[in-house]
Amino acid sequence: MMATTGRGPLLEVVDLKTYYRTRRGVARAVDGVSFTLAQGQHLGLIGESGSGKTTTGRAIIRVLPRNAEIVGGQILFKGRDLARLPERDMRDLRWREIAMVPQASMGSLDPVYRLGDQMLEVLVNRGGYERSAARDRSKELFGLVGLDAARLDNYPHEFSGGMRQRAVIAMALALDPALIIADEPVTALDVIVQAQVLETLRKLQERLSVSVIMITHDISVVAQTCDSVAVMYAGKIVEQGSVRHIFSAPYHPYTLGLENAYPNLAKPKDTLISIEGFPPDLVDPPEGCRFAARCPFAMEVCLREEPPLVEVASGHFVACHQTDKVDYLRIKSREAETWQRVAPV
Amino acid sequence: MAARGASLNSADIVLSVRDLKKHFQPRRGFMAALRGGEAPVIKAVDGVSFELKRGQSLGIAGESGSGKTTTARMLLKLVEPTGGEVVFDGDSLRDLDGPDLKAFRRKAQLMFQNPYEALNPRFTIFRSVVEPLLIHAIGSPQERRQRVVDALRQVHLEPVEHYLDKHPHHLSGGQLQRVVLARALILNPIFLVADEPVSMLDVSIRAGILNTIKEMSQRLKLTTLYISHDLSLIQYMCDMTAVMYQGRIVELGPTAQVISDPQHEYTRALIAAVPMLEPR
Repeated sequence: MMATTGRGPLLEVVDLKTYYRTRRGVARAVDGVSFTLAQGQHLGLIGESGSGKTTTGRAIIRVLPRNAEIVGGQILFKGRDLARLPERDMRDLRWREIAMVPQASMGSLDPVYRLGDQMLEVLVNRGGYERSAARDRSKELFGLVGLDAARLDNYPHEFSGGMRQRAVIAMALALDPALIIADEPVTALDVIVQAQVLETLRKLQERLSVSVIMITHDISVVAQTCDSVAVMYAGKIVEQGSVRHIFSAPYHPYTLGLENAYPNLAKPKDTLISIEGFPPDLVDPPEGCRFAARCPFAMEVCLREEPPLVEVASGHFVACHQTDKVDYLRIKSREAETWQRVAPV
Repeated sequence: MAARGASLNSADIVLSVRDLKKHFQPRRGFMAALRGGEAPVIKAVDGVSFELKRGQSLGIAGESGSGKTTTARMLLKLVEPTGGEVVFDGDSLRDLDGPDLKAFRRKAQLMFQNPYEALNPRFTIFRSVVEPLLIHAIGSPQERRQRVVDALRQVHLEPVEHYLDKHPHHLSGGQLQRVVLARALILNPIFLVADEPVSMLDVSIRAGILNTIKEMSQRLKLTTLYISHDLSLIQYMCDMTAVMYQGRIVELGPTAQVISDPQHEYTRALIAAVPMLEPR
């Protein structure tokens, strides 16, 4: 492991703002996001499409699309602010310090090179490994993710989807990064393969002290692999805390709603309930709480004032004006009629 | 032919599938051609049998490549089987042509996975939903308009006037999937196939779409077939569950039983692999 000393966080994101230029105006995709990540911590960043979870991840490793820009805030990583780091230095950091595991696909591996050669390229060109040491390291990495080292001679098309995704994880680990950003790493995989890849990630957590930001829309993936969660909605974090807190004692109406919406094989529900409506336009976001238009509990203050993120239990933060009424919200949110007040999607 | 249409009662078999097979003969690649010999046949579907009564819902679970989508395509006569037979509402699909085929196309409908691709981006919502009526030359313009309005209302796109003249890019994924459902139901089908109907949608709105499909199937006594890799969705939607593996149904039974007491090893693996909501 690379040196990370002290008990301070590995990553501290402070009031991060990342906006997109669009034809219709500036879209505030990430609009004041703050969180910290300790060494070895696995954080799940969950939210629906357009919530800003992927943009947050991409802003940290600075691989944003051309029309996106970090317009405010800090990304403090080992004491350096990545938001202001020159691209040259940033290039040095990628792979070595921060690596990315993209969505499962053929696209992240080069189809015309053997996997071993692609691994070697990262290790030799980026990591300064000698070729023979790089070969040993490649075998070690394949072993780490449960792949047979003999398969280093294969081309990507000779791998199944799950094996490819494990190879991508092995490459992300190649230079012993302190942080891995995994963006929907198992979404495109079949359920059995998905379970195997998640198991691989979980084992790594036990063996290495790497920190992970797991970006996903699937709350069950987070429940299985992370120790803390940040729930994003319309460019903001609405609730964050330990996985245990968020799943056993959620506060935010959006989080409460998500729980009703999700089928659970172990505890089947008679009725699943949607959160009707859709997220606000980020070019012209509403004043006040961004969830208010879909929230069955919204009051006048919710439309007027943006709720700050307040600590409701140790390390558990919620941005809602009605945290004091949480018992009522929890009971009401389980009733389908509660959610029928908004126009259907 | 057996009695059909209005004379059916609830116990009638809508769909009977016997030993259905689809084998693909892959083209040999250059190297394989040099080496000689036949490329092995791919048995995408290899002997599938089941029956569905009117109003029943069956979920087919399995990983990609298990043959579930190919099976569904054969049931809709979009792919011709290599062997076996599908009897739909009393008629063998093999013999259908002309007006009988057209009638079949009215009675059996498919709901696509990706609502963003299922609708013509240049058509208004009205035009998309009225299209099947035009194709089958049903009704006067006024009657057609009324049916479109009714169909959109049934899938809870209200006020309907708000949607009729909109184009797909004005609507959310969930709204589009409701339009897709309205279009699938406008010909009063008796059989609906839904291939991963919510996998492209955000979790927060999936339930609403599933509930609407459920509500409409019950109201119209539709026989439904769901294809999904997601057992929790099948558990929510289906009376019966079939688990497919390598082209065969390895387990078939009432959903609650299949999930609580799986008999086949693959079913057990599939259930164990579903991520649970509880933190570990």
